[in-house]
Amino acid sequence: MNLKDFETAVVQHRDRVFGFALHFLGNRQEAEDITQDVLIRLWSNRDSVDQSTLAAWLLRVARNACVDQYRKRKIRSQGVDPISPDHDTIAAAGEIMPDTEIDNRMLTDQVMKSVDALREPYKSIVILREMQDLTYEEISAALELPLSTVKVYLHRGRRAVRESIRQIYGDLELAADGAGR
Amino acid sequence: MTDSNHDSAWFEERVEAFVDGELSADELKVFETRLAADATLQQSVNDARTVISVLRTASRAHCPDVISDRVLQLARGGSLPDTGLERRDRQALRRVPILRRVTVRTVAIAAAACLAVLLFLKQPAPPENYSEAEVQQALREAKYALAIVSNASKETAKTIRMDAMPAVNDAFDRVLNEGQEARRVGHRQDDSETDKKDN
Repeated sequence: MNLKDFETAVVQHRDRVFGFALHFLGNRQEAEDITQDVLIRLWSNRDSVDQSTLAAWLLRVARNACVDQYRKRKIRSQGVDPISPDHDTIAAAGEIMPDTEIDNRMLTDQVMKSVDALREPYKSIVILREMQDLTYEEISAALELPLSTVKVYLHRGRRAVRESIRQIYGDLELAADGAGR
Repeated sequence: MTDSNHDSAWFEERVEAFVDGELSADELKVFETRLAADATLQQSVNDARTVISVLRTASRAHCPDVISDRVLQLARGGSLPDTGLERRDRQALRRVPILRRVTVRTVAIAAAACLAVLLFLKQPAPPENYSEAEVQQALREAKYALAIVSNASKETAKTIRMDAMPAVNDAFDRVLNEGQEARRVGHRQDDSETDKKDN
């Protein structure tokens, strides 16, 4: 990979790497650091990275870096639950009625917190599929998991989110109706 | 396959697959039959759709330009161009004296890295009232400086591996050959002196 290829790759993939890190960690500053590290690592390994699988390589490195960062955060909190990510800063307002904005934001916040609480690799798969819009094949390549496993884990991950939301809201449909969805 | 063959857990396990349209034809038939008559299952399907909707409307994140600019700056200024140097011209480079192969750019990077480290060491002790943002900024800049140093080290290692080591190996080979040749000549002289004495 020469400099021109690298510049193209950075422009093409930076948002995807940053978006994944941001949704995984829920912290903009950490996501910026991870993105910078991942892109520098790409430049350092430019001779060995296969350009045909570049997206998968970047997401794999980003995911490993996020998992490491998440562990460090847990260690720093010394057994206490990790600092709750500030998902308010990344939650979208979406198409909402003014009088239901608060309900909508609360629902979004709870869903994001439930995703954040998922174990790996469920969390990465849910983020990559539902928030980053990757295909099953792309996720399979990025996480080095069989296609059928990706599908099963995606459904299990989303089900866990659904059930945790149900526990909080009781009747999720009301919350969704209130949010105008 | 009929509805009566399955308990409610079977249906709950397939809610997400149903929403994604991934049930087999047989499973879909059974699921839809049950769905039409089961309010709890209808609720679960609605919940599953709401979760997807919320996740998909979460904002698309855009990487700040400063991050990619910083990385591209490192790539542009922090390494040797690899066009021709690493492959096509490797043999030609071996014929050039070692000191001339160390490019100005490599020297500049190494000097900049040393200067950065020196300046960093010369900083007065920081006051304790730095804000979180300032600390984070300092941390990012330190990581960036380390990346430059790391890259410079890599280039230096590459130069040593590609250029210096073959030359050193050649020199050792030459010394070894000369030593063997000298020993052979010595042996020949010893033999001839012994012959003279015997005669």
